[in-house]
Amino acid sequence: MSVQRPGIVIVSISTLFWVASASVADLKSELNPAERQVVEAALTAHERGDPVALIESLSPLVARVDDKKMKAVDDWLARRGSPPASEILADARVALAQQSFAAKLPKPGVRESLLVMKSIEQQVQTILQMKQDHPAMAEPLVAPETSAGFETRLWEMHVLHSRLAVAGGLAEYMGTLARVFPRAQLAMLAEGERPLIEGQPAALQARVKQEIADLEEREVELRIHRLSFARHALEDMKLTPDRVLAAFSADFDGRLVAQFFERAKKSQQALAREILRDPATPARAAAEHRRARELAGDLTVKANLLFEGMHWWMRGRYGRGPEVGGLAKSEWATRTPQGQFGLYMPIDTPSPTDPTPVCRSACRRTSVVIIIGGRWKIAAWSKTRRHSAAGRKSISGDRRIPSRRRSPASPKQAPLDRSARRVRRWSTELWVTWNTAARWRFSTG
Amino acid sequence: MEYGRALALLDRLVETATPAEFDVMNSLVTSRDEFAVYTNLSRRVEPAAGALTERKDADKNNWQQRGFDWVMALARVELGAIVAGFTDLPDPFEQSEPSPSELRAYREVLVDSTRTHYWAIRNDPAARSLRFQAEPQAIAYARRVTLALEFVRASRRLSELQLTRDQRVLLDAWELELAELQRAILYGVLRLDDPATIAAKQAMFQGTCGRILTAARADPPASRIATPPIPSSASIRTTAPPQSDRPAAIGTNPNAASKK
Repeated sequence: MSVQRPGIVIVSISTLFWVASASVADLKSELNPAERQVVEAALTAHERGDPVALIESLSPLVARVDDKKMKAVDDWLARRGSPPASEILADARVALAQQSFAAKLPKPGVRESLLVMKSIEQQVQTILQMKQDHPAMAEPLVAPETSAGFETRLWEMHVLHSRLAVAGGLAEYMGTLARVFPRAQLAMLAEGERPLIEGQPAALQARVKQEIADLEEREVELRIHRLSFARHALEDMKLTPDRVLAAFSADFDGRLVAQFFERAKKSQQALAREILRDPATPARAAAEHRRARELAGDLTVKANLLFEGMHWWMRGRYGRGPEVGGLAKSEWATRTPQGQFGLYMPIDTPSPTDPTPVCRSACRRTSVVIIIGGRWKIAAWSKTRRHSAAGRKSISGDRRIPSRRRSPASPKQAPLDRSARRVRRWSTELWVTWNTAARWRFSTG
Repeated sequence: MEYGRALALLDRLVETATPAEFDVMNSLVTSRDEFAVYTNLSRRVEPAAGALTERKDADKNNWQQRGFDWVMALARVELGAIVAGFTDLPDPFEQSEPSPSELRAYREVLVDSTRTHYWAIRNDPAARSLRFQAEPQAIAYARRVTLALEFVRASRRLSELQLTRDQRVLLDAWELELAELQRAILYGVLRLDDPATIAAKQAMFQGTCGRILTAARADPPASRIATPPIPSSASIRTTAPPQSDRPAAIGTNPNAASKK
């Protein structure tokens, strides 16, 4: 055995070397320097959070390459820690569609349409599955026993609702892409691809609509339970944090429940859940609401001021605009009041860490959230404007990060000094995390 | 909009809540991690301790502050910065007045921001050399400097009586230095006083850079029109920025002339 071992080692090393060099050679032979430059530009746009630049650079490439080259593009992106082209293109197109800019985008080619539609279908199915697996979907609905439990469960449902709304937007955009898909190309599609164009968009839209309706009913049912819980809490006249919370939640839930029943009555919506179908429920909820307000007195108004004020503060501090890598609101915001409301909010409640030691791995992501959401917003904004012209720089702006762009003639990256490498790694990681982790929801108020 | 709305609601709450209610609500805010505010951020960019450096010994919470006062102070400073950067309203940091109880927090956040902005510009190689890639970058720097200037002025106005002589002298020196840099960018780089391009430049500035335009109109130096206008898209290098006796002061790179 001991005699054979060196031989095995040599063979293994040679094999590994051969596999590694073959894969590198493969990649090199498939993407020429100009294509690599396009992919790098797209990646930079993706990291910077610039969907328009991403589509403008990557879309024409995807339209003209074959499957083999497409695989090479995806491999290149994967080596840089990025999701595949279809996913980032779909994300970019969908992000712009959400902001009503879909009509202004370059029309996708046949391949890109298919890639985007496949990605959309996958994303929508994932969201639908997430909803099905959520504990709030248990039958019968289990009401939490504490105010914190209610808050958490309602927040989770709110996040699910936002995700379903995104899924609805995605399915709608999928329908738009299917409508403009060249009919002449339909016959050339593989068996599995035809439903993407023919029936799937409408089916997905209907399913998402149904799931949203179900979630809304469950949410209202839970709010009715919380209304009773808050009314009980308000019977105790001692001023405590729980009393303040109850004063706010009772008023908030009472209003939302009343609005829900009013809307359902107006639209003659058939309600599925038993408690909501009971004709006595609206009157019972209204009575609970009235009683809770009486018990809370003027604390209701003050609790509303507190929680609404803190809600706006959270938007200011942690909200991420759809433009300039999250640092600005969309152009629409300068034209319409509604446009000012659109912001991406983190799904997980942020827990800030000291933003000054920015390069410590433990606090990378949250640190930057704070820098952007905190006092550095303006400075960081002006520096981000610089990114597009001058290459990438650190958010804090003290250290210059060389441009990621490579010359086609010299694909080798220019050496960076240690701090620049560190900041670049941090910065890339940050943006990739932001762009891929789907930890943001689009909030409009 | 966000901070403005938040302050409108929270200011009303502070006016109407009884001390007991305020304490309970403050305990709610204090207990939540997401409402924590970090201060003394400038320690990251300050090269050495100065007259305005935060003197608190090692903060027991590692510069993490909690409570209503800090939340509102941060919102007020943010709002003031937005007004300073994107409007030409006078005294941007006086658009909303801090309540007496939050004055200490507000002062600390404001002065910290002043130090941070000043030192971030001071340490920035592009600001030191006035070598910008293109006009939008120069405009972004002009905005940054204008903002830093407003921070300096607001800090002085707010703490007039509490400032020591050294602190006043330092703030004056910072204001002078930033004003020089602002002039160098507006006239040396952006050529806002050049009759040939003034209309186009002003149109570029309109809407979002009111305060920068106001600064440009208020202080037009007569002697700077001699050199030809800069190209709009190509790499921009300043026309001889004013030299200063201070070594490596911002906007006065001693190497700029030799590189040219």
